[in-house]
Amino acid sequence: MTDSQKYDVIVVGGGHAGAEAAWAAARMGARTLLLTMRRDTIAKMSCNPAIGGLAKGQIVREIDALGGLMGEAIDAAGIQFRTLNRSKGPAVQSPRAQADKYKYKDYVRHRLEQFDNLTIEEGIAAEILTTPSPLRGTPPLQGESYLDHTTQGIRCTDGRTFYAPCVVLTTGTFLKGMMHLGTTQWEGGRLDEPASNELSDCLRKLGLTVKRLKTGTPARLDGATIDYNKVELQPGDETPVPFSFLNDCIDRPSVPCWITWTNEAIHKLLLDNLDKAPMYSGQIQSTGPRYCPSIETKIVRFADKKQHQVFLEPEDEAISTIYCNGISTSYPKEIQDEMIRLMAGTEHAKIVHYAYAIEYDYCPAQQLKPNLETRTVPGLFLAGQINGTSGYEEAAGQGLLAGVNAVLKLNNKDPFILGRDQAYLGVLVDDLLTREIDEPYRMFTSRAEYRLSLRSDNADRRLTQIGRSVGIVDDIRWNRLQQKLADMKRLEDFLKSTRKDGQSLWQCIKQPQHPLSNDLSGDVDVMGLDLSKEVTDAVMIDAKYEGYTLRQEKQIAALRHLENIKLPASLDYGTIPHLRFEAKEKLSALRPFTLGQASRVGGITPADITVIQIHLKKNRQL
Amino acid sequence: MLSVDDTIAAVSTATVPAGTVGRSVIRISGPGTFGILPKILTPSTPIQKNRISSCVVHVDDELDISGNLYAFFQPHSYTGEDLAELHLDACSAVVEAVLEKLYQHVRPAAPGEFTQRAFLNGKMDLTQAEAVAEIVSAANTTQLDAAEQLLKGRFSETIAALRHQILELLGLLEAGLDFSEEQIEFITPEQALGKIKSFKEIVSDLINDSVRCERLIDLDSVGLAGLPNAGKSRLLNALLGQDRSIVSSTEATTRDVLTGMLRLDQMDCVLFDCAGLLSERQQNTLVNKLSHEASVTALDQAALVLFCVDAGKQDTVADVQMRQQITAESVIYVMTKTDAVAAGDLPQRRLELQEMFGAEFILTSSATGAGLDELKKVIRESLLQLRRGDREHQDRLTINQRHERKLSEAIKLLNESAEEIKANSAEIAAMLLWQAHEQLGTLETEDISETILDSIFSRFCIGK
Repeated sequence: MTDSQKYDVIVVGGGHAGAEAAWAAARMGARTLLLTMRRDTIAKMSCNPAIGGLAKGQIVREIDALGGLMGEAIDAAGIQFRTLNRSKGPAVQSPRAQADKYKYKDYVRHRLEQFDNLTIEEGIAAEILTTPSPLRGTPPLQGESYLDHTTQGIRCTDGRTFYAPCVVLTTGTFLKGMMHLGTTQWEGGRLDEPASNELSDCLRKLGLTVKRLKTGTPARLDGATIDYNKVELQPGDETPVPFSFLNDCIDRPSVPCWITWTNEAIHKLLLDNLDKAPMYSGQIQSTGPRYCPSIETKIVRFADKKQHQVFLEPEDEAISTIYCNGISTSYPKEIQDEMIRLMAGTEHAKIVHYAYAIEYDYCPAQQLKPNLETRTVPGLFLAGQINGTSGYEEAAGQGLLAGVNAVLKLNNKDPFILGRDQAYLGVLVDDLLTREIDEPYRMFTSRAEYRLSLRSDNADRRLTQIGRSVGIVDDIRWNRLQQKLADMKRLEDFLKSTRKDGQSLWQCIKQPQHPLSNDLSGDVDVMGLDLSKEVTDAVMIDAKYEGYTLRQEKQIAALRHLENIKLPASLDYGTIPHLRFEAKEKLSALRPFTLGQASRVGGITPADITVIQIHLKKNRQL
Repeated sequence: MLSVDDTIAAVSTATVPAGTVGRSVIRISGPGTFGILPKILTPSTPIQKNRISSCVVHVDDELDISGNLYAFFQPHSYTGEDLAELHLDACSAVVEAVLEKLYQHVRPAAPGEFTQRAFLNGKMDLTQAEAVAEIVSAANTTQLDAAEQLLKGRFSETIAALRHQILELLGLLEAGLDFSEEQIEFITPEQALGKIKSFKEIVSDLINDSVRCERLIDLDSVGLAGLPNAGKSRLLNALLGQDRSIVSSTEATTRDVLTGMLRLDQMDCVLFDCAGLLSERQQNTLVNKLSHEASVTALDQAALVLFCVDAGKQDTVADVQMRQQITAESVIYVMTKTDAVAAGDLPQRRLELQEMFGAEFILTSSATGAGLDELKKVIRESLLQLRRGDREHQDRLTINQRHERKLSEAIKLLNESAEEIKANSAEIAAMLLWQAHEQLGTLETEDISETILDSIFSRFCIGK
């Protein structure tokens, strides 16, 4: 084996998950290989040309706070920035931006290419190389109950082999991808790109359960063929707020989006031709996401709605193509042409790419450990859509975690696991591991029970320290955080010690009617302190939520205690005295990793948890 | 989820039926124990390790009562944590008031939780582990059973419907937060406020319509009533076959726990003595009055009342007055201390009392044991009969203190939630509604966020 074939970490797939995984591994100093079908499709936005949004924006901030790439990339490639939920509480406000999708992927690729210890190779992975473990036939080690194989590397379809003890699979929609456009269906992973079939079979052979999911993408129109006078203008924010904590401002003119609507003529057309829609003809069997319904699903399920909103989003700064957000479909081309012809503003528009649906393989994530490593194959990590998620942000977050964990494993360090109280990424992984997923999983703020603490404004304060401890946060980011913390402390002290009308300014912020509760930066005294709006906002939000976050802290402390109690892989629930039958059954099936996870399993009571705790203690496993 | 490092409290003499007066021990354990004590009481001397000090407990603005405080510093305590025991001689209404005050600062302990902590802190031999697990598991079963029983009938239907409505409102609020780009007005603040108001009314009605019932296990309770010194305590001891209470001939001196399980053939019941019952003339202090009222309420909720009259007492006007205050439907009349009356006078005495009260009397002597077997037989038969008849009264709601506290807590959270909606903080309002929903919940983990998403997706056309 030559040196050029030997790596510490191999990342298979160059999408948003793969890019972050490779970035994290390389940043931590690992000799990393990124294997992608095509170098120029790294970090390609295969669907919506946008980053962020409700709950997703928080995830991007978290990725950035941890030293990931996505925040910097969208700041560099964004063409329109908006803060969503501006009229609502700060905990549910999220940044979102339209991207120039070409700039975006180029930016990510350039950043990856700057690492000396990161190699990018073009190729298609066909097999995960494993060796039967030397431990086979002997009793399993703690935490490794299913131990069967260990990862050695990968073999490509062209016969090339690459070796590494850790492999991160981020295959997106490519595993046995089957695309649908009307009655036509063909194998493919993405528009004009082939599917990856062998790798999927290999995963099955390794003992992983593989299931199918479905997603889709709408048509793209030629930007020059739209009548913009007939559609509603949707401008971005006048003062864009950057995603990355490294950036102070975005200094670039904003490109607008537009809104148009479907109408009854379109609905009639689609209903009359329902037999040609693969979703309804039976051609597609798998489940698609409920929050991203195709236009045919909307019309059938909500028959009383006379029109549906369609966002026309530019895919690049020059507005050469337009993404039709809201009408993803798998109708045949001629119906799509007719639908566009019937819609206000797009009567004469030319379809550049037709909408299509795609079915693909994924591995239900209950097969993973909390570090995103498969339970069955040590050294094999999965991240992104292969775990049943949807969205660039969800994928990128998992990629980052998987990349970090792969390197930590190599270095025999403790895994990097975020709690539900620490990050949306913690909620994401915990949900994936403990829930049955039957549609692509997307993050919502309502999934986070500690939403008031998991905000986009405090992601750096929540996570940068943790990122620093594992070695992905560089000095620049670290020093910026220290400066911000010092500034915040200065302002906080000032607010707590300055009294007006018999109360401290800090108290004033907490009163919803008080002018200070909405904006601190305009206050004369505060202005004297010469602080950035980022700092004044952060302090204001802290004060506003203080009472509630303190209330939640008790809950969080209880949770953290349970989260820290590991459940041995060898634990036989059937033999725990006094554990209720229902609890035995459920926990045996799901095999949670911590007592905290066990406590979140449906039907488990606090007393069940106590009984297990006592059992562990008695057997000195606690 | 039960935390193991916060501070908890509970009455550790849990068998005192509502309304009785006796010594109650409130136990507080956890790191915050000694920080919290000054908030509810003033000790006569500074709190010292392993020392008893008298103290004044501030029940409310009007009422201070005295008690004794036992302080144990960690790790030298039952639980291995800082622990205090507050001994109070008071009726349960007062004890409850103290608890309510305490629960503003600490969490109510779950069944078996002190023992659980003792175990986890290494205060118990590991061989006892099984026993502890069994206790916790049994307490769990009892709770689940109790929850299940509560979940039958009107109470449960109301709560289930309410929980459903709260989830629906939550769904709408959450949709407004997670899908604000949809240009759908999921719910207006006015509509949300209206809904919360109706939830509060439902919970208030539940509390108001309910009968408080402290029975932990589903045993009938039998209360002893009668004037002070009518021989109630002696009868209780005689029936239970053990010396449970301090008995003296000075009126109203019975100040210990006066309760016990009376074992009857397939019809065990809880026997309790309402020592707090006083004649009108004796209700001269606030504490006396409170404890009298609590005793009357307790008797009112008892399945059966044994009304005791001293055989040797000539003037029974006060007895009749006392009887009139007791509204219980099933009453057994007992003549006590028959040994103090000449055997020849008993038939005449019996006739007089029967005329006076319009009912048959059972003649007993706690000193000789005469008539006790007959009394037990009558108690058993009466209970059997009651149980048959009780099927018709099943619509009556019974809730215990724990449930009532949860309902009150739910109302508090609903109020706070409404305030946050008015302040345009839907994200905080939602959190409070989640918590209200939790207060009304069962013990089992539920996947609520998924339920909420389901309800959103099934009702609205969402997504691009």
